[in-house]
Amino acid sequence: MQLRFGIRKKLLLPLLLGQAVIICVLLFIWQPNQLEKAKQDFIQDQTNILKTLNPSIIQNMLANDLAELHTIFENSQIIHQNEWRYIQLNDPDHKQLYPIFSSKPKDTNTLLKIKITIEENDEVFGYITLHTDWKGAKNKELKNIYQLSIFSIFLFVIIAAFSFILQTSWIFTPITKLKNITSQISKGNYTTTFPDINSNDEIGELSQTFKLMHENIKAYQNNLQGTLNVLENEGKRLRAILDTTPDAIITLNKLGIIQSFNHGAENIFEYNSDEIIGLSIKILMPQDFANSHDHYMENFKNNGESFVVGKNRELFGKKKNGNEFPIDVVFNVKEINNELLFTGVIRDITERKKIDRLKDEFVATVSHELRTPLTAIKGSLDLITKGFNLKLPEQAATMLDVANRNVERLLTLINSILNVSKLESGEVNFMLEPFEIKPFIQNTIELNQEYAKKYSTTFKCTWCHDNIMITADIDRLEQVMSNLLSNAAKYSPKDIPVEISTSIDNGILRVSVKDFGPGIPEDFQDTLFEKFTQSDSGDTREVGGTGLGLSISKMIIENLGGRIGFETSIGKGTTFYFELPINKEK
Amino acid sequence: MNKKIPLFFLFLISSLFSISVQAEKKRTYTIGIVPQFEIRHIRKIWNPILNEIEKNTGIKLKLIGSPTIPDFENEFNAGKFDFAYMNPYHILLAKDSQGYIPLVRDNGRKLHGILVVRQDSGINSVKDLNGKKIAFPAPNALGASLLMRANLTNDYKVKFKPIYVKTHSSVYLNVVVKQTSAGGGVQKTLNQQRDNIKGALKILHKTPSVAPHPLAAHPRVSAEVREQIKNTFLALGENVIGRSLLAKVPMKKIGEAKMSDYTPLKKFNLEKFYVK
Repeated sequence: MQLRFGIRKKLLLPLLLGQAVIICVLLFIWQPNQLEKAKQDFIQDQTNILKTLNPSIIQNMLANDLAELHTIFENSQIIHQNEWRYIQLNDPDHKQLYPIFSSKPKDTNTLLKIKITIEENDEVFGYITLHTDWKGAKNKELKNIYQLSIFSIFLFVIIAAFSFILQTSWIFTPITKLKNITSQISKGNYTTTFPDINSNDEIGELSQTFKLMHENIKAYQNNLQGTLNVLENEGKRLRAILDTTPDAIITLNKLGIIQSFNHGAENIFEYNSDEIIGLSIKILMPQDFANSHDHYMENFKNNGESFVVGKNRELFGKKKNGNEFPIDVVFNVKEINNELLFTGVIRDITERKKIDRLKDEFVATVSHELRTPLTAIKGSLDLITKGFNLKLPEQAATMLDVANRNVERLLTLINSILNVSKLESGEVNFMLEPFEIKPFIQNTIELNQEYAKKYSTTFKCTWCHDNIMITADIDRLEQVMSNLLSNAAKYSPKDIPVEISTSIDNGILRVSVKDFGPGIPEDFQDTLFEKFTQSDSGDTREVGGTGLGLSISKMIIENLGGRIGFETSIGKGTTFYFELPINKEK
Repeated sequence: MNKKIPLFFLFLISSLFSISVQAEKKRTYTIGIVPQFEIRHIRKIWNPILNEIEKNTGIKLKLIGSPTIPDFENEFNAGKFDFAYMNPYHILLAKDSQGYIPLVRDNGRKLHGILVVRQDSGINSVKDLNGKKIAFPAPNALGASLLMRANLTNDYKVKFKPIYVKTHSSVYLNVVVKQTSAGGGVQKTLNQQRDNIKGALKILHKTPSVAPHPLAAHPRVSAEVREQIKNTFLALGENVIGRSLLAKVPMKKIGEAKMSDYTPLKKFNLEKFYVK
């Protein structure tokens, strides 16, 4: 088991160490020093005593008064009998003068030998050797030392105990409080009241910081709970929206694995969300499209190109029972937490397709049925006015001309409707071939110049690039070009030419047709390419036309892989353009 | 307090009165003692004796101390003392200078000097001391020094180097510690030494004996008083208390002293050895 040293023990440890150090210092340094000092003091005292004898010793030595000397020494020995064990006097020739008969005592460990020279004015009179026992002084000193040691240790114990109590109350108690409260907080009990630790030091600051942290966490927790509630409600709301929308809304990860599947999706594809979440989206596709799915995903990952992302596509889906059906699909991609999330909105367009098909069939049938009698009428009218070379009354001739023009107009309208119908039903085959753009434009201008004259304007090529090749169905493109030119002529002011030009940007050719007419009112701009749309759809149709031209042109250009558009400014004019990719090699 | 003052005056007046009455009876004489010991010791010995004399005779003897023996000699030669206790050689000098008359002396003993050597010194004859150092207490100490030096020089023709060591004890110690080869003393002081000192020494030689110290009187003191004093001293020797007092002087057996007791000293030619 690992030994655990609590803070209280850690606080106690230096005090104990200090105690040990003090005891060691007292025992091994201070006591020997004190003893040695006492010994030296004792020796000094004894030496001083001997020195006080010096004058009388010298005097009596000079007088050869050995008796007096003996008396002095004997008296001194009596006075100092506690210490002096033996004293010896020698003359300068080291002859022993005192004592005569007594012998030296045995050495003991407290016996000190002090030898002094009796001298005055550099004249030596003799030597005193004193054997003195400092046992008494030593014991007295030891007693002092022990008393002081015990007192010091006792004092330190008191100080240590006092320090320990203070440390406990200053450090341990508040830290324990902090520990208990933080332990509760760490268990998630944020409602605990934080205790007040009013110490004016680092622990107090720590406690205040903890308190602040605790309050912040509490506030954060409350905020978080609020946010969670909001999010939960928002989630419920979104879930409700998702579940009530008839469209299928499916989310996929970057591998095409289904992450979510709403009620609409369940209805459309007849799968339960439980059984399909976690499977690949390919399960919802017909086999041929499923085969190319991986390729599309790879493409998207590598260069961001996608068949369905950001675009409405009409494709086919596959129900659980294997039935295929037309769908309208648009996918959007979002990066959430560094993961790509694809959200697809899928609509079952089986019904719409059915209606469209019925409509197209109806239009084709009706147009066909209308055109046949109209062609017969026109042939008859042509024969009457030109073929039989008849002299008709002027009134009749005028009536016939009106009839002829209206028949032509009806035929044009029916042809256009048939055109649109064919294009929409995909019945039109495009004959793609490469050709140079400049001769094409010049030729188209020439063909339509007569039409321009009808509106007192001309077509003028302001800038056409040489040697630019494109690949397209040249007849269909001529149809587009003629449509744009005729529109421009219709809206161009008199005697101001319509300008035709080309420009190239990033491998894309743009052909622009610019008129300086009134411009397109904002209300019409959005629906301009829809069928039967004209900017002056009011009662006074000055310009004439079927209202299908731009719609047909858009369908053709998009079928050729290009784009059609316009820029307009009210009162200044309009530029229609179409864009097609340039052939990479001539 | 006020009551005490008249009492004190009464006492003072009565005291003065009694002194004036006695002064008519008594006469005060001076007495000098040879300073062989320190003055306090001398007073301790002599004051009880002088008190006894005064008690018996009504004669007051006032002790006059002399710091040193030479001072004492100068003083008796000048006739300063009415009475004087002096050594045998002094009486010869005092007789010549002032005519001092010996009254009493110790008749129980004779004074002679002794010469001691260490037992283990190997010295067996006075002759062996030729050229050696000999310790003496002081130059003029009669038996230990004057007589001995005169005796060795005059009678044995020994040439020696005298070392004066102040006291008899010092003499013996100097011999024991071999500072000197021999030492001059007297039997009495040798006897007073510790046994180990005595045991370490042996007596090599003794001087001829002389009469011990006399108490002498100046001739100006009337014969009547002289007689009175002499008799009183002799009377002290008759009782136990008196004898014990005199024994400290020392006088073991007090008796009459005559000048003729001291004339034999003259032949020693002590003046040659006397150091002034």
